Amino acid sequence: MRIECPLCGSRDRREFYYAGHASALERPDPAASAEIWDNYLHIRENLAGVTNDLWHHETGCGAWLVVTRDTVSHAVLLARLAKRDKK
Amino acid sequence: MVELSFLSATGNKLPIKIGNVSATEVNATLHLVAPFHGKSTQAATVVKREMGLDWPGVHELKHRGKSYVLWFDHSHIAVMGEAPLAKLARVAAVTDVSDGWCIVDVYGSDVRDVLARLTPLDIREQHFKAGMTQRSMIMHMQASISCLEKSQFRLMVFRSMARTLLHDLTTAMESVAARAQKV
Ligand SMILES: [Zn+2]
Repeated sequence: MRIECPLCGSRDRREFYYAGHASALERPDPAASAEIWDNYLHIRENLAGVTNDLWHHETGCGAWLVVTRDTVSHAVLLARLAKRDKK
Repeated sequence: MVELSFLSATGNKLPIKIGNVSATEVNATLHLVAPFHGKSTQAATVVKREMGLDWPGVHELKHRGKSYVLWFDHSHIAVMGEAPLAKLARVAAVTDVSDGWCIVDVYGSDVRDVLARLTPLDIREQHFKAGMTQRSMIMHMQASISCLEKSQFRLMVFRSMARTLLHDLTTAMESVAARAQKV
């Protein structure tokens, strides 16, 4: 498996650290309800198909990436810098 | 400020030569530079005016004499050797990491065969040319790998891993040299 880092180019999976679903970037307002926070922290979809994950280019450029991949075919479709998505 | 003297990270185990590849330790000051928000242009101007070098883009390494500037990660460049630190510090966060890294130059005609055993990078000449620098792994270590000339590379790992680097490097150099003898 290889990931196309927007900075470093196509790199071996060993260089990356997986850190869960990219929904972590959509942090709720501090005053949001307990239900919204519970959902943000704990509830994940376990879908078969295209998903967005957070990966850290740990032994490369150190950037956080949002990686779009298909959990059925294992294809890595896209990787972009997470800081562009951060609100 | 007190002038500190250089203490070898590898315990004076270098230089060594195995087969046609040599490794030697580099004694150089190393600073990381991260421009403050909105100050990238000013930081680049300082580097251009004081060092005569362009700000390094992704994967770029430039030098004039013994002063180097190189891309280091998504938000830093590194300067090696003489650099206008006080002027840079007005527009960027400048961190002295000279005692945090071990710097080793490896060179010789089989140097790329040696590196091929150590890193997942594509180290073929057309993909890793002189003047390029990349961050990747040397075995399990986070490393900075730069191509200074066609058959000369600069390897950097955390200083705490200097002996591991030496071990991994020596093993790879011995393997390449042993294969060359067999053919
Ligand atoms: Zn990267």
